[in-house]
Amino acid sequence: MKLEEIFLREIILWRCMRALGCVLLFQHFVSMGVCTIYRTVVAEGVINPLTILANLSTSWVMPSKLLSLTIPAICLILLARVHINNYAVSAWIPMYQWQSWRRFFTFKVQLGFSMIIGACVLLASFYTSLALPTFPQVFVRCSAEDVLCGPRKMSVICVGMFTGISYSMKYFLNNGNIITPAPAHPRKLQLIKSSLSMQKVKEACNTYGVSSFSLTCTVFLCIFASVVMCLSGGGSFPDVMHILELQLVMVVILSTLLLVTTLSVFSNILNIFLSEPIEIPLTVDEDSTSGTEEDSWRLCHTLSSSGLLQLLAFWDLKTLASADPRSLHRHTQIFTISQPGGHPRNWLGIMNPSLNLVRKFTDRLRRHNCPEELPQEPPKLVEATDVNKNEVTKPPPVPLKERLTKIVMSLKRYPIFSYFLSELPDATNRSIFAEALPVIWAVEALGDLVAASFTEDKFGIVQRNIPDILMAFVHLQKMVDSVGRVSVTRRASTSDNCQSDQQLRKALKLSLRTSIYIVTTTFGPTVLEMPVSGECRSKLQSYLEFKEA
Amino acid sequence: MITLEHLPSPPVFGQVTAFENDGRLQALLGSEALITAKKWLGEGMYIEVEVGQEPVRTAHSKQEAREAFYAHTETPWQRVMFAYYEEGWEAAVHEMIKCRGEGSLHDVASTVASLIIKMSSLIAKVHTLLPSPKKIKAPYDVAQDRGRCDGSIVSVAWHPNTNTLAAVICDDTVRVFTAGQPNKPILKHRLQKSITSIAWMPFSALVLAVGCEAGVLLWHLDPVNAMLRPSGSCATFLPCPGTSPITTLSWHPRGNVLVCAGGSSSQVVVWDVWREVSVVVHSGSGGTVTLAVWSPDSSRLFVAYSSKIMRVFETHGWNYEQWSVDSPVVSAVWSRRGHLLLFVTQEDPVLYHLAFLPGEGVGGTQVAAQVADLTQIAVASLEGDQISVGGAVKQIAWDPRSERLAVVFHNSQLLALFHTHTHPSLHLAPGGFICGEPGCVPVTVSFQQNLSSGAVLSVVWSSGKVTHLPMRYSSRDPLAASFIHNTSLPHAHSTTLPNTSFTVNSFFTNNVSPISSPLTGRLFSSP
Repeated sequence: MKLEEIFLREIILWRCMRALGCVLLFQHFVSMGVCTIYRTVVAEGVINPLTILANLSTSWVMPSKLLSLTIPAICLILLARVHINNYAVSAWIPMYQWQSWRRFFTFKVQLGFSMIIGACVLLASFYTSLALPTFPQVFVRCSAEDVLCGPRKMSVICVGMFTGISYSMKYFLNNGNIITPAPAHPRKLQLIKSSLSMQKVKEACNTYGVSSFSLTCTVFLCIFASVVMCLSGGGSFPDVMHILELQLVMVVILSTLLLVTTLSVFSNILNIFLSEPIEIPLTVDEDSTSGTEEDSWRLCHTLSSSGLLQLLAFWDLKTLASADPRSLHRHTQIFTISQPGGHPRNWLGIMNPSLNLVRKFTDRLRRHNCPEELPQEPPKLVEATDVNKNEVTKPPPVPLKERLTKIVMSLKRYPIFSYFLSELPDATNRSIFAEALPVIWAVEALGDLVAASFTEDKFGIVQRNIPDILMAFVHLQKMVDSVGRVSVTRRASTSDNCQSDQQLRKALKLSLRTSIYIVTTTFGPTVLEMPVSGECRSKLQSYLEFKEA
Repeated sequence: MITLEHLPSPPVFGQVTAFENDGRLQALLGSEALITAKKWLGEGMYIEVEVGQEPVRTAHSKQEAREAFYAHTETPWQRVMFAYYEEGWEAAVHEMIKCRGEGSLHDVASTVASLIIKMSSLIAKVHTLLPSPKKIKAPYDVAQDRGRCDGSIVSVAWHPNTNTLAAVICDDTVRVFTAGQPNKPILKHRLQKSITSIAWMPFSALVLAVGCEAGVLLWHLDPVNAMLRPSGSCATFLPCPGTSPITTLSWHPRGNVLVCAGGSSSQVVVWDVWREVSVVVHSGSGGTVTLAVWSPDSSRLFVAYSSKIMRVFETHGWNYEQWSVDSPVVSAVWSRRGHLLLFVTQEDPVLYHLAFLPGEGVGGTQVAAQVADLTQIAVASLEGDQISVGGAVKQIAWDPRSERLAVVFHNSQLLALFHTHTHPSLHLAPGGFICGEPGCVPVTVSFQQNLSSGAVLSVVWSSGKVTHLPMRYSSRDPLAASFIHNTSLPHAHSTTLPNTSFTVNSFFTNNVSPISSPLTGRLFSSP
């Protein structure tokens, strides 16, 4: 079985279940509590604290209320399904504007959109009915006498759809689906607690477009639509006036706020659970039979995997490479050799995938920014020409691809086509740097391990790889430094995408410098005697003098 | 338990403490002391911390360079749209106001926009009446020191790896002094107000974190082409809405993570400064965090609160152990191996220590031990003058080898110096009193971090002067050499105090019982 499948089956699904349980608990106590307080205080006009407390406790433990949790549970399962199928560990950077549109119209994204919107409508309706039981659920048919049922439903559906679309746009098109481990990992309860602050709710409201302005606009639009529907459906003027009640506006605002909070909390909690660090066994047993799941579940294999598993594996590597006394046992295992045989399997199992990742990343950058430094392809055969360099043979037919390119080039002259077909500024570099997080952690881990080998590597297994590691670091640093400054786009809507890769670019620069400083500080002038290139040696010299910034 | 009475007498009036040679503090006249310190440290390596009268650049004006390139051919609606794209709704509304006089429709839009702005400013005024963390005064009262430092240096911080010193000036600027560098960069930023703490990033050339009212500013300076006045683009601002004003910050020993705290909350925030991502690792009761110190082995974080508690977190799962104290902790230092913590409280003139066991969890001892009695006494100088010293402690500082401990008192002209060693257990021995020029009170102290032998104590005096006190001693700790090789820059930038012909002190072996056994008391209790 593939490592990713084991990871999905054994870890991701279980974490998703626990996250869902947490959100449902939040749902039960907070949302139901808020709605009960609203119903008691605003709708029923009771301000006796004892009655409020009694209503609250009844709403939390009454079997009928517990049963009603099936609606949010279904909605959350729908949302979880979308999140599990669409999460990413690096930002998606489109090369062209049309790629954003293409992504929008893909079946997967459209399915996700519809599932999220459906869940949002159901949740909005659920909150409305909790706050005011006279409000009908969207899936309950209206009675013939209740003229206001349709318009009210319409309002709730509009609000749910609006929030759902805002959330989906952010999630699918603005990199809202990225899962990133936090810089420190306290208890999950602490992380959840800090994600529940009013500041976070406010941020979520702004992120999902539920600002006071847009909310007011939506509510008034809904009321306007309801009035039109009511009048066109034969409703009388008093009916219309009845629609324009304050209660409708308040309930709609309350349900929208609860919906946005739920989406924000769900997203945060799922991120907290999914990005929780994992500890992957390091040791490879000599007598183990290859092929079993347990044997493949080793750090050396997971480092070569992809996606979230690779990211968590590099986080684990970074943790165990640090000088923390708690990871001392695993830390010392790295510098051991196999018995019998005397092979440094653990070190090589870590070093090879990490160094490969660093080198591949350097190559990607080089291929895009300094193609002249790449090995040249053999020159093509000289075409048959006469003394005046005129072609003497008939030119081969132009392939379809070239024709298309020409057409595209000619279309680019028109503004409307150039908007869709022109390459976005610095898109290739941005897409490369968006995937830099595991590289940063690989650099940190290798730097720490090389520094630790100064005192801990009794068998000298790390020593012979230090020049390669330093050369890889220096080459990567050269490439990162050579990439020009990021061009700033004018459109505010792309700022989120921009920040992610820019910060990773900066982080990579800083992590490379820190790691090289740690190595040069630990080894001192000895690093200059290692078999490295002249360019690398001069760089190391400047690091020794603390002249690199 | 050692007391201040065990320390040898302070120097005669008019002399200042110049250096320490093998356990004995020597005092000379002011000018001679300076010459001797320069001779010991080497002319090129001695950093003369002097603040000139250069005019400091004023805070950045709100006028931006792009206004010079504004495209005036755009229609008013286009300008409004661009303002919305670039800066959001608020800028668009402001832009709309500017459209007055360009047509009747624009006039109506401008009137509506000005009404909106007036409404929002009214709401903002109401908002300012509500309690806000920003209005709460930082517990670390810089103003008090400012008044005393007479408009000059407030505090100093040594770079952990190089011969570079940062000095906080009263006017919210920071000056950077590097040995052998003629340029002394002045760091000033419009957000850099009410500086509370500064810290150099380890394993970096010149990255300085400045904690101030608005949040944390990270200055990235160029070590090769040191500009006298680095622009604001050299600074990265880390906004800390929950913890501003910042009261304390501390770097992870590796340098990739910064912990900061402050404001009215008890939140402890960890920043991945590279990615500019933060996480609240603890929030709960205890009042404002006044001090956070990361242990040198990175396994623990000490946090002191404005209330009578202190906590030590283990930095893996961020679990903590809590101790109750009689009064808030004002200063704390870790030993170089991170297994001992020394601290002092606001009211008790006693130095306490906590020991930590290696392994899972925090592993701290249940009860803190008293190791030194710092009660105020009157000491007689060599001339027989009575000088009052001791009492409430302002700051303690331990040298990177954990062999010299300096204690700064409130309202005392003298600094106390103890000789310490931590292996196999903590022992304190009397070092002496450090005295500055007449009338000068020590404000704050800092040990140079990158020395391969001995120590250098930098003292900021109330006159605004900074003196460096070289201490030459042979390490008593057998593990000190390995420590130097591991953590403190042995090869590249370490400075060695040159050998001199001063006589070796015999005081240490003759006069006083060198070791005091720590006493334990029931003042502290673990939960």
